[in-house]
Amino acid sequence: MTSATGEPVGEPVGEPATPPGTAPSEAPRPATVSPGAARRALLTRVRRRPAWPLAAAAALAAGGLLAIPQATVLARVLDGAFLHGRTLQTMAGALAALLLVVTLRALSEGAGVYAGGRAAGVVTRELRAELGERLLGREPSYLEARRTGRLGTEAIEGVDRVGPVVARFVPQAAVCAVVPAGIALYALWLDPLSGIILLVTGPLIPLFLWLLGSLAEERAQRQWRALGLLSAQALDALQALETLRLFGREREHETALDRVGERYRRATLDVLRVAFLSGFALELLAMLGTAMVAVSVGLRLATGGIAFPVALTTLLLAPEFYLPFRRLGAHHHAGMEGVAALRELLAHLPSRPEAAAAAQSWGVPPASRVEAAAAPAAQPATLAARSPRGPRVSLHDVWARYPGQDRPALRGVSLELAPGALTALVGHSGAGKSSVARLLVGTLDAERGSILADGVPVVPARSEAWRARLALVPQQPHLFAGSVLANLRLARPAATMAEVVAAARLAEADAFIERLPGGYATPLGEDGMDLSGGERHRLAIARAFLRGAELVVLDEISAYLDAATEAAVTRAVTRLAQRSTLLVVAHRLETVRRARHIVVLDEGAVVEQGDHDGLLARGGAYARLLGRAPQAPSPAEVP
Amino acid sequence: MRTVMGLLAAHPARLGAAVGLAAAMVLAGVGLLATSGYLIARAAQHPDTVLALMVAVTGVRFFGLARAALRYVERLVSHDLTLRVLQRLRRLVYASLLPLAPLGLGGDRSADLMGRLVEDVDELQTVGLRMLAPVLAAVIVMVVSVGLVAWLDVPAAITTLVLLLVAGVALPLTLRGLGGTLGRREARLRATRRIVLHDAIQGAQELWVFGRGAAFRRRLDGLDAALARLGAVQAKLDGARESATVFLTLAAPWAALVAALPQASAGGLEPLLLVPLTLGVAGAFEAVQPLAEGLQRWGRASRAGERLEQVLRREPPVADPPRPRAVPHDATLALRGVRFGYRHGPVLDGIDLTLAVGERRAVVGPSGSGKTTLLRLLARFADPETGTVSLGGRDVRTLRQQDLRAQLAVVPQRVALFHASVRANLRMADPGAEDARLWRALQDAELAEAVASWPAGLDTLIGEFGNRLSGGERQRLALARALVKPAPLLLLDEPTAHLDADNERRILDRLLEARPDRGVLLVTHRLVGLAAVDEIVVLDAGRIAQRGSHAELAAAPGTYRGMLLAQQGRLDG
Repeated sequence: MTSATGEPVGEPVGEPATPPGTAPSEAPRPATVSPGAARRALLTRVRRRPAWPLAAAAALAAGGLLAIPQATVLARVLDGAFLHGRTLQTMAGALAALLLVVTLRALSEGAGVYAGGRAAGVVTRELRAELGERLLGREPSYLEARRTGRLGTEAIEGVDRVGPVVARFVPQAAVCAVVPAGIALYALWLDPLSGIILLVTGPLIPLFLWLLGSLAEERAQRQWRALGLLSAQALDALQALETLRLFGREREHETALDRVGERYRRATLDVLRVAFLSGFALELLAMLGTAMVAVSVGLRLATGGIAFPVALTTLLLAPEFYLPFRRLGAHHHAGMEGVAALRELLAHLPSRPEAAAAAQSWGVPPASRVEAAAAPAAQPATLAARSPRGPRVSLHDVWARYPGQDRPALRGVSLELAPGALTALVGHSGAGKSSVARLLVGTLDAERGSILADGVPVVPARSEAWRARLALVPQQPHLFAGSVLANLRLARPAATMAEVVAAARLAEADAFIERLPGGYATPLGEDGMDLSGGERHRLAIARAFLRGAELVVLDEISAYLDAATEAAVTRAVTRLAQRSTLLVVAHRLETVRRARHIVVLDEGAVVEQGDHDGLLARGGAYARLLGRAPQAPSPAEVP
Repeated sequence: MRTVMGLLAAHPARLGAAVGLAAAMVLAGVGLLATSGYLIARAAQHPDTVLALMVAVTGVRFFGLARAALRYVERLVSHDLTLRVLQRLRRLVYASLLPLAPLGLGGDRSADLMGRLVEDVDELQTVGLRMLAPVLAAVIVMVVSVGLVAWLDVPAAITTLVLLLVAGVALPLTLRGLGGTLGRREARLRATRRIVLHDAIQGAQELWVFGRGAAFRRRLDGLDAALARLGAVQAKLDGARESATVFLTLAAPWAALVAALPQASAGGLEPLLLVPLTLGVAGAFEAVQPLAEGLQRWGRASRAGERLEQVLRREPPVADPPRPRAVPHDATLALRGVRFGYRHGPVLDGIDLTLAVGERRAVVGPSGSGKTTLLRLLARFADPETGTVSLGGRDVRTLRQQDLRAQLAVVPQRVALFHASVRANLRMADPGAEDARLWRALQDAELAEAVASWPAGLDTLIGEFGNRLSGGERQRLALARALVKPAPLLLLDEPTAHLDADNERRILDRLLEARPDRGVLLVTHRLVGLAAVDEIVVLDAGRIAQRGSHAELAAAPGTYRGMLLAQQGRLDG
């Protein structure tokens, strides 16, 4: 998750001119999307694949409207039994009809739920795919800048929470537009007074829902953030339990987790209190409406102003009139949660035109597009050329800065990497070594200046063809869940077992792999074995061999190696240098001594270059770095 | 599951209130339907005075209002209960993970563990909110409503009871069987997807360079597709459940009417009562409706519960003694004949080592020689198989772990910083430490200059795991943190691994200065500054190969001299 060399992405060394907001705190979040825009975006997605949502709404509406024949027949049956003394036998037909209507209604409602579930499946799947494309199709610096725990939560749970909105809320909203109107019109025809009661109280419900809903929206958002924080904190805690125990701070951290949990509970209850309030208002209106109809028809019935079957049908229909609204209210909480989640999600997703551009450019920052446009012929050329010992790569006056940083990470760097040779980058931490490395692998983009491979301009951030020619050996390579073999094949999925073993031998990794309990099949990753730093490093070198990379950017491991391992790594790196252009972010004297060329960086600029003996003889920055200078400058005083 | 039930039982008043309110709410609905039916039927008989209807009118209004109010309160109470249970559960999980770290956690992915902590715990809310309370409420409603119907007409009561049992017991149990399997499969797929996503994000750099991002996206997509297929099956189940529930709810009044009609025709039942009876019966089904959905989620919830309990049941590698002894004044740490191994044979064997206040010792050896394990034994994250670790002559197994660790300031190899300010990270070591002391520690760790140059100084926030600092800065911050801790023994595991030569030398010189109030144990593979150390212990493959001073060891042939020669070829050593 750190950069290639463990060098900071936005490190705060130096200039106090860096604005406070860009200190090494969290990277700026992408602006969230407004609830309205989130809803519109969701509806656009629903409309794009309308079959299931339409089926859901139609089936649910049919179910709702079947309440009319159901109430009519039931009222007639009860009328016959109660006022006309009719028996079971004489009403068999009506009773059978009632059962039929009930069955049809049950089937419609079930079909509506099924279609809603399918509709949700379609939309969530699309959202996930888009999100995956966006998060993983981008240059990794985008990911580094954000809290990983939160990303995972957003991507997975966020999408899951959008599902119920599509499954239930959207179809139910459509039902609300149809069913109550149908029932009210029927009631109006049957008994105008009752119809008027329904028509007056009905519109109040959406009004209430809207009023309370907009109030609850912000709260739902807050609750969502609390969950994100909880997740991030959980990750922090798990990775750091050892440290917490060593400092005897486990209780304090538990308290902190409690605090976040408590905040989550409060925020959720806040949301619910309002969400339920809208439910309460809704329920109250529905109950009062039903009661008003009951009392009104009851009193008129007593004075003979209305017939019993009509009165009973109206009474039975009154709750059915409110039912769609009540259901919508029941889904409203899920709906708000879903929209809140969607707002966060959409912040990751590009709007339409941007999406097209991103798909082309693999999400490279805009600066490079300009440059790429200026050198359109460059890409095919880099594809074709395959130098036997790697390309000659040169940087000319390259300036670069990390997104959101004011201070350039590189200030006019010019250097050349010779084919089939080792070039070493040296300098204090923060001097810009890993920025050069990132520039070459394309996770940092040049603002100014150019990069040439065998004289042809390349934009590594943009060119997949360029990346196909190179390999990266980070100090702490990530171990992916899977076997050693799968981890190696990452560099070339089609590689045969023999090729993998050969690469591992070249990297001096074969011996330790064979010693693992399952050899090449040993599972790695946090579920499997952990490897030492030296072993991980050699796995990454083996990947470079397996890939047949022409340019290898190697962040030399600076720690953890015993003499035997160190000698093994040295042999592997030597072999690597023979067959490719090799840039090493160097920490070892032995490495720089063998380097064809040494580039000394300081404060993002090249201060010296040459070979070991020549640089040492000069007694400059390089000699000081080695501690061989005649007089080392005194370290700056601490403020 | 038992754990969650136990937690629910820990709030008996809230649980009782939730159940009582839920039952009362449904019964108010039954009352509303029945009284309004009665009102209409009575009115149809054209009573002499409207007053005859007033009781029913009042009943209709009362039940209507009560229902709305009861529902609001019930939902708040039950959600509050759920969230409280969740919070306790979360804390329980954390508390049970803690004693396992770092040695007892092996075999779990941190991404998966996080999933446990957040997702599983959230999943378990279905147990309280959607299962236990609704079941209890449904029982109450069933008894009351069937009793009321039986008071009017026994055959109608029997059909109602049967249909209620079908809707409330048979249907949920059938769906539980189907949903359980589905839920387990879904949980497995979700766990895999989480791991792949974790890899894709944590390994983004490698994936980017190797152009494997697309392959990972395809894998995620494949998992999504599998989950979507399960989702389609789930939708079918949901639809079937909805159909069955709606059917039973609407068929119940029909059946009750059919059952009661012969009685009414025969004069055994006042025909007027057919109306409230038929209408009221439908209301009772509201109580059993949530059961089907609740139990259908059983699979997911029980899987989450199983996984949680797996974590909860794990045996921690060490435990505090029942009656801990006081920490001795003499803070001398000693290992005697220590042997320790993980799964694949011994890592340490026959280790004797002491560290007293005022002493400086080093343990050196190539990687994999057992140095880190040795430090973890000293901090008692595990106990040796044979031999003893003691502090001031007392076996550390007789001390409280916290008391022991309070004597040690440790810089572990894997530095963990927190997403908080520099100051908060440092104060972990001593919450009362003043800024002046923090600056002194930063100075000793050669980080004061850098921190002072950051715009927010000590208030600067550290990114996740401190990943917005360089490796060297992270390490120096961890070192400063250990120096803030007022502990007599300083244990350092490769404290200068990420530092350049200048910094390393300056820092080591300062750390290894002889100080009467501090003992220092330096575990390292880098032979820098070791001339200042009183005794060097050279480990090789878990055994002590050599011991002596730097001068002695450098002169004699052996592991140490070999390491020394190899190291001379280092830029930063």
